[in-house]
Amino acid sequence: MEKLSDAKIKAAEAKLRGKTVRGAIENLEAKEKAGIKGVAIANAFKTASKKKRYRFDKATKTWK
Amino acid sequence: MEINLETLEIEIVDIEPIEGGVQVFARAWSDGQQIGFGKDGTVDIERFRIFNPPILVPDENGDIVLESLDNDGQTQTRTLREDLVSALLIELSTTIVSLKNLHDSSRIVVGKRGNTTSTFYPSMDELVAHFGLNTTWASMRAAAGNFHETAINSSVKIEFSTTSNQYEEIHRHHSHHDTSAIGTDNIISANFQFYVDQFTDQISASSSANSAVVLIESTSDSTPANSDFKSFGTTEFGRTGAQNTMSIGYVTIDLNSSGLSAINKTGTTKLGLKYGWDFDNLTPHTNGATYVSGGEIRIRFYQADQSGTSQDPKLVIEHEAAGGARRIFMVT
Repeated sequence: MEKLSDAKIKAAEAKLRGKTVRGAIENLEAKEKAGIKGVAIANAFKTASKKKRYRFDKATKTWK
Repeated sequence: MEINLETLEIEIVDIEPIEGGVQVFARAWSDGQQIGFGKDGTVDIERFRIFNPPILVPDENGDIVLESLDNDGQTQTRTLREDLVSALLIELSTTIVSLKNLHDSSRIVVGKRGNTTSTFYPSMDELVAHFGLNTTWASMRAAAGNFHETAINSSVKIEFSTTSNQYEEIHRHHSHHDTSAIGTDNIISANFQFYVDQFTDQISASSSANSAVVLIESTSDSTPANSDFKSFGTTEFGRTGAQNTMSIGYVTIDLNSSGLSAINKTGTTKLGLKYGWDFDNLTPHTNGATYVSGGEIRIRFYQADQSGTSQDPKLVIEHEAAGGARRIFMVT
């Protein structure tokens, strides 16, 4: 499996700009949706903390 | 190694988008001890690929509300929120606990990267059913389907009619997964998981071995249709224990050798689910179930949401690059 090209990532990010992921993917073909979600998830972790140890917090039902 | 989901910790070492999803390199700990991945437990960092990854997680205060009508007319509601980080971590945690090759930390080689664990969410899934009225078991099983549904819930179900020892409903399930990303790799192990949100047993049958859910081949095409009720193969790929041994949450069925052989490394892997009575053609009221007028036994589980939730059905495959021939060099 090849990594996405920079051009494809930029195109996917452009589609996400200003929209929620769900809104952005609703009207796209299945393969394109999957690729855009991959870009968004990778970006979300870069914004969060990639190297951190995450653990499920039962009280808040979130991973921290 | 015994894995405790409640104390599982995950470190994302690296993450990047790939065609059709996302690739993650991760370490994991259970009860404070690092997990050694791979056949011999020497792998420090495992590679996970998730295709069509989920982005929604359950949240009773979430702003995404999905509603649909259940087949018995009840409104089913799911409340979710969009949370990309949590969705991925839930996906990784439920995948890690299902793996065959999990070891303690004693043999970990620091920095060693492992093979690949790929998770494939459905490209298509559907509930298919036949609704009859006062129908014999044999006629129900042989009937053409007259219902299909791709919305929130699916199920396996058997329901008696109001005539003694006759039947009214059978439910079955199809789940198709685009597994072409496996390519030439060798498959080590695989499992299919579906997330149960409700068990019903009004016919005292959930302790019967025939209440197991059987994983089989689906022979339907990618367009959902009533006729898919009959589109199943006859080879078993694996099964659960009796219904009363399962719990709310993901239920995992490990694929046997027939199931592993059926994984399509260049296209779509098609799987199906039936109750044991249905697959083995055992009449329920003479094989562990007690006739109750209108009574039913059912396992209800989530189907794939369009955007993907952390409770969608999934096919998890451990695989490794096909090895070349061993070369021997003579040094003189």
